[in-house]
Amino acid sequence: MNCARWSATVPAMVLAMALGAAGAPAGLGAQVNQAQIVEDWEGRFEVARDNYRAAYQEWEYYESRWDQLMDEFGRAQAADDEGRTTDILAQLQELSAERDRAEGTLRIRKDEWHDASEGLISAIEARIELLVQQMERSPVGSNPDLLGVYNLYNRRLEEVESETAMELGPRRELELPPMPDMQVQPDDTRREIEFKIRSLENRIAVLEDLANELGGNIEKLENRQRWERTRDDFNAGVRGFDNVVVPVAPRPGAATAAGDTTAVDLALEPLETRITRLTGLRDSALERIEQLREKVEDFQREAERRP
Amino acid sequence: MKTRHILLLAIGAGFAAPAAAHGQVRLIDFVITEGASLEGYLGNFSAITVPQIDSTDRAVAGVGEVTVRGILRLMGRANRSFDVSFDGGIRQFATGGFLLRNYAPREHSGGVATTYQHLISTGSLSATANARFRSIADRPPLPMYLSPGYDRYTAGVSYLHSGFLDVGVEGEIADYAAPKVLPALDLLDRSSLVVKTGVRKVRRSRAGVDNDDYSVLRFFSSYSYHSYPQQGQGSPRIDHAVGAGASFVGRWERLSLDLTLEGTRSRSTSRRVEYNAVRLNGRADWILGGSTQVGLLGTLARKRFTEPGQDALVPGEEADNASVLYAELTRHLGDRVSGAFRFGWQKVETNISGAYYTRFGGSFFLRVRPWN
Repeated sequence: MNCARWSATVPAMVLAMALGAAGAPAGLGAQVNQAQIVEDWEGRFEVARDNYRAAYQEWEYYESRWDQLMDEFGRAQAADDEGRTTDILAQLQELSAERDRAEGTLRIRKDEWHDASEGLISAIEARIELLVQQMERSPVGSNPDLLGVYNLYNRRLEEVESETAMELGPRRELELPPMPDMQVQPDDTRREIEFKIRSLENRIAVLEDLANELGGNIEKLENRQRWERTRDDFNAGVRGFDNVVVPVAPRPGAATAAGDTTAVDLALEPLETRITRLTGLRDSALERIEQLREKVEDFQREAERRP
Repeated sequence: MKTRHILLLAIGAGFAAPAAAHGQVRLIDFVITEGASLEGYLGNFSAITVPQIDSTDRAVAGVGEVTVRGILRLMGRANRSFDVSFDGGIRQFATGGFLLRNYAPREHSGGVATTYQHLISTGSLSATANARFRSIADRPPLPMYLSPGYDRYTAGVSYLHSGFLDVGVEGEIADYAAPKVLPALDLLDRSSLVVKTGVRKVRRSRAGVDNDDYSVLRFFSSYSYHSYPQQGQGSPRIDHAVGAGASFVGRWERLSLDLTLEGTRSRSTSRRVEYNAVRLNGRADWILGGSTQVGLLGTLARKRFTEPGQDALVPGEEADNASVLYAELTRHLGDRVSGAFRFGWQKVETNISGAYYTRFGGSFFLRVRPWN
């Protein structure tokens, strides 16, 4: 083999391969791939939307039942019907735990649907951008199908944006339910204070559930992080002292030129960031539980002093 | 050696200082590893860059090592990240079984690597720069093959378009810094340039909204230019190699899998070193329970020189075939400590005379993450 000839032909071959890959067939391939990414996100979007709607229905049921009971409670109080008032108070007490739980679930599902809609919108926008690039390269009117596909994706983008805007409103970080601003009034009876105590205890139970759920998620993420770190440890252990280097053929670098950037390409939020965020939220929940418990103790002391 | 250390320190400090000033630096990971191994070596292999000779065909070694490794995140925004990873370690051998004398090799190894990744609307951009050094004192004769010391500098950029098409270029300079008594090591000095392009298909799990599972199938091709300024009489040896292959990466809840199959056709200014080669790399990790994990790593490499009757060794490429297998069982002993048993086996052989060496052994490692 004449090396001078190779020097000239090999780079030309590789350049041709690269240009071939980057040319029309690859352009088409990229579109097909981008369409697949959109399709993947559509699936995740649908799952998240269905979960949110199911959670919303449940929450709506408890909310309307609560409103109904509150109306009845007002009427019973106005009529000075002590028996009915006591009965409704007991029902409200029972309902408040379920209502708070449903509200907590709704917040989480809402956050998940926001995540999925943002992913889908990004994927559709990238797809549209590719289509625009291809249309700009094509002579005017030469590819009417392309315009059809472009319009289709644009319509879908509008649908997704309006659907999420209408049902979810603007994006907000997953947050804890607000602290109940509950105080003992000078004219509160022991029964009324006890009702307030049970409401606070319900709120504590909801926060404990939330803290447990967050704890489970954190544990899952920490396990994944530990798994990835162990994988890295093994890799570093065998490569660090060149254990796996054998005198066969040169292999420049530790990795290929196009390294594994998949996690970034898929826009996965780094594990460390997610763990920090969820841990902060759980710590806030635990802090609130502590504050509510102190309040319950204060209320209990106050109740003992009332007739 | 001192210059190298200062250079590495300067690279690390240079990147860390501006970010530290803005309070952005986060230590993502830091691990201290202590290990002890028992290894056996068999064979009658020869290497041009190992001038020491001993007629034994079996040797043993006890090994102790300490390493540190970590990752600093200098920037970690939603669409871009900049990480500096570093590692360094020392490994001491006590050998037995040699006829002339028993050796006590000591290795120092370390490096700094920077990785910048930027997600843009049409794809993602990555840039890397690595500096790596290795030194070995009292290098033993074969069959105990320990690779020589070097300084190696690598830089590369790659771009992934629309999650589908990737292109990348990487350059490397490797200097084996031969001492006066071992000039043959300079034969390994090398400058390389690698251009790669590939297409990939990514599949993500739809099972749940908060699920990170994915798989990637990638087909790639490459062109490599290698220059060996110390080889060749009169004109330096220059190799041109083209490669093609496929890789698969899968990440699931309890299993991770990486497989790469690559073929290489290498041609050179010296016909004696022209070859065709194929290499299969595999990597798998399983989670066996709450705190136990198993990892497997293997390589199968085959090479054929094109020159009929090739009967001379090529520096640094004395072997034609290699089989490498490592297995590691890790048990987590709490949040910050883990213990691992590793078994390793490798066989390297040449087609010229059937010469070979085998290395096998078992190790125990204790890993501590003090700031987990």
